[in-house]
Amino acid sequence: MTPRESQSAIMTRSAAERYAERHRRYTTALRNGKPDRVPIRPFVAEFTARHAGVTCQQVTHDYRLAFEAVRRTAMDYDWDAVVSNMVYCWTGLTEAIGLKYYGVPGLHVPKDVGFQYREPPEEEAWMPPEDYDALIGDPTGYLLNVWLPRVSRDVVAPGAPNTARNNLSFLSGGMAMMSYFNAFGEQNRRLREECGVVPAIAGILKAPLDILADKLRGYLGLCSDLFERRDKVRAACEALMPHLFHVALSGADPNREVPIGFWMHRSCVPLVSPDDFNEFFWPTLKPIVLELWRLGHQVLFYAEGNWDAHLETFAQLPEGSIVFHVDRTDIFRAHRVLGHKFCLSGGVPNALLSYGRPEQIRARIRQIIDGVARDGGYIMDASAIIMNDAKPDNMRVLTDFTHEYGVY
Amino acid sequence: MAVLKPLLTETGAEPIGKLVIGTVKGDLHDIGKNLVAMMMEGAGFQVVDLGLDTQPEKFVNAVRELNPDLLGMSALLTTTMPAMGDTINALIEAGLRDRVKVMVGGAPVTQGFCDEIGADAYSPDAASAVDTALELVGAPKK
Ligand code: B12
Repeated sequence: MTPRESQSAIMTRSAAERYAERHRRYTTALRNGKPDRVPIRPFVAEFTARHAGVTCQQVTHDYRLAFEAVRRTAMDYDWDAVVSNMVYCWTGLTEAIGLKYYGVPGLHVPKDVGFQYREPPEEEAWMPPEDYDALIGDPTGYLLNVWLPRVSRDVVAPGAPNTARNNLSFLSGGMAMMSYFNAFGEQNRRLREECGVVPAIAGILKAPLDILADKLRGYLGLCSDLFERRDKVRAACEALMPHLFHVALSGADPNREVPIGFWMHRSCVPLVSPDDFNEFFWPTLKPIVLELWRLGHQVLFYAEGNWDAHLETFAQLPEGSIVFHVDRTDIFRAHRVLGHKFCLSGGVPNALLSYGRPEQIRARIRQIIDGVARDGGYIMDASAIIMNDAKPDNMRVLTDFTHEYGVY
Repeated sequence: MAVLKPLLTETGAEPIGKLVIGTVKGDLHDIGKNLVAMMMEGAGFQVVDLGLDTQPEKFVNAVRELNPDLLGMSALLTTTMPAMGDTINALIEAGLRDRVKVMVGGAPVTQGFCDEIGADAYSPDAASAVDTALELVGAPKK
C-alpha cells in the first residue's frame, strides 16, 4: 500500500465506523429504543446552500452541488442522519417538461429564495370538479393523460395534435428523471461511505385526501367539494389508495431500516374538521400504513401543523409502525399519548433557530429532552424544514447542546 | 367560506373599525389570513384585504389612503417574517406609524417577535385576534 492508499483506508475505515455508530444510534431511536445519546436528524433544506456558500439558485439548478452541500453540512455539523436532498426540485427536470407549478430561484423568484410550489387560484385548479369521475375510474391514467398535460407547458394531451416540443419533453424529461433519480443512489452511497452519515428516509407517501387538496383540487376546491360532493371525494380518495401505496413502496428502503417519509400537509384542524378527518383522511390512509408495516416498512409521519386532535387515532396503530414528527403539536401530549409505542422527533420551533438566542434554544432542548426523551425514542430536529434563514450559530448550538445534554 | 360569508357579515350595523390586512412580501400562504379577515368581518370590522405577497410600500399606501384603525400582517414562513419588521419601518419612515395599530400573526410568529419588531399585538389564532382587535379599538369584547 502506498502512503496515500493507507491514509485513505484509515479514512474509509473511520467513516465506516462512524456510519455504524450513527446507524445504530438512529435506528435504535426509530424503534423507540434508548441509544447512547439522542440522535440528530435535521430536515435541512436551503440551509445547506447557506452553509456551502452558494445560492438557492445554484443548488436548485445543479443537483450535484445540492448533494455536495448536503454532505458537507452533515459532516461539518456531525449529524447522525439527513435527507439526501431536501431541495428536491431540480431545474433540469422541471424545465425539461415545462412544469408550471414550481417557482424556481433565479427564474421565477429571486436567486436566494428557495424554490416554491405555487397553488393556482380555485377556478384554475389543475383538476376541475367535473373530472372526479375520470380520476375515480382510472387514477394513474388520469394523472398521465389529463393532469400531466395541464401542469406542463410542453406535454400535449392524447388526441390533440402532436408537437415537437411534446416529443422532446418526454425524451429530455425521461433522461432528466433517470439521471436525477439514479444519482440519489450514488448520493446515498457517498453519504454512508464517505461521510459516515445515514440517509434519513427512503420513499414518499402522501395521503389520498392530502394529494387531492395539494396537487389536484387545491385547498379551496377541496373545501367546496367537502360541502357539495362528498361521495366523489370519498370515491376519489379510495381510488387513489393503490397508486399512492405503490409510489410509497417503490421508493422504500429494501433493507427496511429507515422509514418512508409521509408528508402530512393539510388534514389537521383547522384545515380539515375532525369529522372529515375521520370520514375521509384516516380510513383511506390507515390501510396503506398497515400494509406497509406488514411488509416491514415504518412510516415517518411528518405532521405539519397541529395534530393534537388526532393523536388518540394514531395511537391505535401497531407498536413501532410509525415515527411521529412534531411541528406544532403539543410535544408533551404527543409523548403521553404516543410515546409508549412510537418514537417522536422535532419540536424545536424554526423561528427560534432563525431569530432566537442560544440560551432560548438550549432551554427548549432541555425541556424536550427532560420531557419526552428520558427513555429514548426521540430524534432531535426542528419543527419544520430548515431554510436559509436559520442561523449557522444557532444550528451549532442545537447540535452541540444535544450532544452534551442528550447523552444517556 | 363563500357560503358562510353573507351570514357572518350581513348584520347591517356600522363597522366598529377598519382593518387592512395582507400576507407579507415573498409569502404566498393566505388560508390563515383569510380566516382572520373573515372572523373580523363577522365581528363587525370593515376589512380591506390586500392579498398575498404584499410589498411594504403597498401596506404603507393603504394606511395613507384608507386610514384604517388596524393593520394586520400574516407570515407563514420563517424566511418572510422579517418583512413584517420592514413594513413597520416603512410606516415609521412615512410618518404613519402612530396612525395605526399593527397586529401580526401566522404560525411561526411569536409574542417575542412581535415585541422585537415593535408591533402592537400578536394573536395565535383567529378567535383571539378578534378579541385583541376589539381591545385595540376600544370596543367591548363579544
Ligand atoms: C397550505 C400550505 C402551503 C400552501 C399555501 C396555500 C395558501 N393559499 O395559503 C402552498 C402549497 C402554496 C405552500 C407553499 C410553500 N410552503 Co407551505 N405550508 C402550508 C401548510 C401545510 C399549512 C399552512 C396553513 O394554511 N395553515 C392553516 C392556517 C389556518 O393556519 P395559520 O396560517 O397558522 O393561521 C392561523 C394563525 O396563525 C393566525 N394568523 C394567521 N395570520 C394572521 C395574521 C394576523 C394579523 C393575526 C392576528 C393572526 C394570524 O390565525 C390563523 C387562524 O387561526 C404549512 C404546514 C402546516 N400544516 O402548518 C406549510 C408551511 C408553512 N410551508 C412551508 C414551506 C417551506 C413552503 C414552501 C417554501 C414549500 C416549497 N418549497 O414549495 C412554499 C413557499 C411558498 C411561499 N412563497 O409562500 C413550511 C415553512 C417552513 C419554515 N421554515 O418556515 C411549512 C411550515 C411546512 C413545513 N413543515 O415545512 N404551503
